[in-house]
Amino acid sequence: MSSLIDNVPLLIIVGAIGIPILVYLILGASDRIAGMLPRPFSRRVRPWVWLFGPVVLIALVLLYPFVSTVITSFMNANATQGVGFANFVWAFQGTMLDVIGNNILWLIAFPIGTLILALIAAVLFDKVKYERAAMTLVIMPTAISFTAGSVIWTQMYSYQPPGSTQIGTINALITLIPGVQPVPWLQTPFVNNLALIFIAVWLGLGVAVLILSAAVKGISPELVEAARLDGAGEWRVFRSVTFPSIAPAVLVVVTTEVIAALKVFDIVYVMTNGNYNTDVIANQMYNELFTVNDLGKASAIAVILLVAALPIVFINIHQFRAETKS
Amino acid sequence: MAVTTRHRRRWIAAVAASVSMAALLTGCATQQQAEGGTSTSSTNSNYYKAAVAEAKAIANGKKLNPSLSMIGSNSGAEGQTLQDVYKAFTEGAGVKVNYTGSQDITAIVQSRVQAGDPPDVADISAGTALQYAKEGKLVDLSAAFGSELKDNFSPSLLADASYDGKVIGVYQGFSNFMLWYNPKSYTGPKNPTAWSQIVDWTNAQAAKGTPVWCAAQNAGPESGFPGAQFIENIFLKQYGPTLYRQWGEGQLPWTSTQVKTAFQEFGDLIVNNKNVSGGVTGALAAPIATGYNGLTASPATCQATLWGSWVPGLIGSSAVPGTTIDFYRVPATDPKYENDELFQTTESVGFTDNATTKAFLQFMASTAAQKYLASLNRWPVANVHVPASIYPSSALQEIAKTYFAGSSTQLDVGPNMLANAAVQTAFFKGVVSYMQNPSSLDQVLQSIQAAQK
Repeated sequence: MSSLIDNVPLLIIVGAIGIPILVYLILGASDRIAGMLPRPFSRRVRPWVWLFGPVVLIALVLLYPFVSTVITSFMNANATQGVGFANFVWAFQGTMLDVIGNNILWLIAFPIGTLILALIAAVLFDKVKYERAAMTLVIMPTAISFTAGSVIWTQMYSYQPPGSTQIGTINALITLIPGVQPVPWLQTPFVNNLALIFIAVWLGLGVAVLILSAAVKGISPELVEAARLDGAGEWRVFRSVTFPSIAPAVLVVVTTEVIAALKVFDIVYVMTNGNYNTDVIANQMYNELFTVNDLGKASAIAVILLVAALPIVFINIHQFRAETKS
Repeated sequence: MAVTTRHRRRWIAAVAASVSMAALLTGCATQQQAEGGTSTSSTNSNYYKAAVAEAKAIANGKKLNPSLSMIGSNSGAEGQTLQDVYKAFTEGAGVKVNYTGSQDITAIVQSRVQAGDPPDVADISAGTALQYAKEGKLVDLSAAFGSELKDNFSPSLLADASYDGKVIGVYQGFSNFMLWYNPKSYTGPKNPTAWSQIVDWTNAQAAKGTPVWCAAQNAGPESGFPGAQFIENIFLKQYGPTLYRQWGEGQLPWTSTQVKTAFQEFGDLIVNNKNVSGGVTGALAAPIATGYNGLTASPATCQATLWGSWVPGLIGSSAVPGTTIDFYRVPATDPKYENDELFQTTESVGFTDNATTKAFLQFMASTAAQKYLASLNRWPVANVHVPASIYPSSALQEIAKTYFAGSSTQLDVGPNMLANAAVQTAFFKGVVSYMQNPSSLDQVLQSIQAAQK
């Protein structure tokens, strides 16, 4: 078995070719069988034949872990005994309050920061000839994983004491200014959280710009022309025409970034592991699960994250339905 | 057209220059990182050949898997040294060792064990190994090659790697702790007999405006562990091996007077901008891979550091034993404990009970493999049949004579070896929090105690 797992070409063949063929054969055979049934009956059964596989997959991958996690959140560390709401009480007291405070900072600064920069990029890039090059530069970081981006920025933020050669890019640049001392970006309270949030903005900006740029290009030129004919300046056009027209896209960007802010983990774990008052709830969940080995508390945190994200999901669904209807 | 061609040529030249500059900078960074290694690997050496022969003898008559997976905490140059030893096993036994080194090993091994897919072998702390042994997840090595283990390691070290009378782990590199200094720049007491001499010297130098300590703490997810080891050294030399072991086993609370005093003495020395190079913030921010280079830099930015025997290897080629780097044993606060030393090592344990895992661990414990590892000049080894003369470095020879061959040295275990993953993580984070805010000491100790289950 281990030789099978080590055989990468074989795994690629199985995953990329074997599984799709298998799924195709199963669906084809099921559809044939459904087709052999009496007509009215086969018409009713056929959709469920096609849905059966995905429903089973969703039940296994989503539903079962969800139910299991909710049950475990009410249990002790080994998931052998119920403890009522103790884990949830723990999650909202003591050091966890500081952790939640950090997440609230992420929830505010990350979406707002990304939105503002994405709006500026989307609106301004639309007006210049070198839009493609500018968009490419903005989108490039999107291809980097959060972990790799964190490693890059760890070096960028690197700090050496004043008087020493600065090997971190940012400190090397700012110390070129006479009288400016290097900044310990990751060790200075509050500044370190903003420094981490900036990395998330840098990595997530590309997708936000793409969404907003597409929305900006979808605005009717007549609207803009009419506003200009009425004497509106650029800022007034943006405020009264552009922004209201792209509001649905703005909502998509904001809700996506809010969910990302709730579940941020990689950046914090790689760069500080929650030290220096940067801990976030997802990092704490990882710590409880893999270091402390407390399944109950880790599950409680997962449930809290899910409940916090649900309103955002519902807003998104409501928005999509409203757009579909209109 | 001519203008376009010229423009294109300028653009290409600019890109080429940028790429060359990037390559040069990358090369410099790689050079800096590579300076952490002083390994002298050679597959032509007699020690390597002996290790290959040993692997062949162990594998003889056994049906082994073509590969095994191993996870350890050593990466970079240190990880490469270990892989050089594993090459001998591959060549002799025909088993490829897929080694992964990560500082995040505790979480990685834990997640794989929880997923039911543990690595074949993992190089983990003794405390974490004990945790898995209690859950019945580790291979019993006594049953596999117990007599060889008894021949090659001292009874006390075997006892530290055992659970319920069964040996569960094998030691590779072994590290002790000492006070490193640069003879060229050091102004402190030579071979001091009391810890108070170190404290007095530190304060005297601080009064002159000279910070004397290098104390880098940044180790990614495990930031704070150098400080934790510093505190344990202070504790052992003041309170002795019995209380030290009790502390490690959780019988002595973290909130006890003794533990608090050890933290405070560490704080008086290191959590003080006047005493540590770069200030406390600089110490927290400095990565451990490069943060001790100041000891041998020209001019030196610090004069001393209390840390493990790996320091010269981390510093690199500028650490010339006897010339720019030397050591002495950590002096004791209580003279009764001057020969008590704590040590740092990990245990290689087996998760999969099969012939391949056992053969590999047997090879790692063998004298031939340990001699080859010793010859690679990275760490001392604990195998009693490895003579001090084998180490190319005079520093490692001296360490081997001082801490292993010397009969007066008593190796003791405490939190760094016995604490489980949760307590160790809380300890390391606690050191960082304490260094950030010394007034939070009580809260820090309470949070570490809360992690002790």
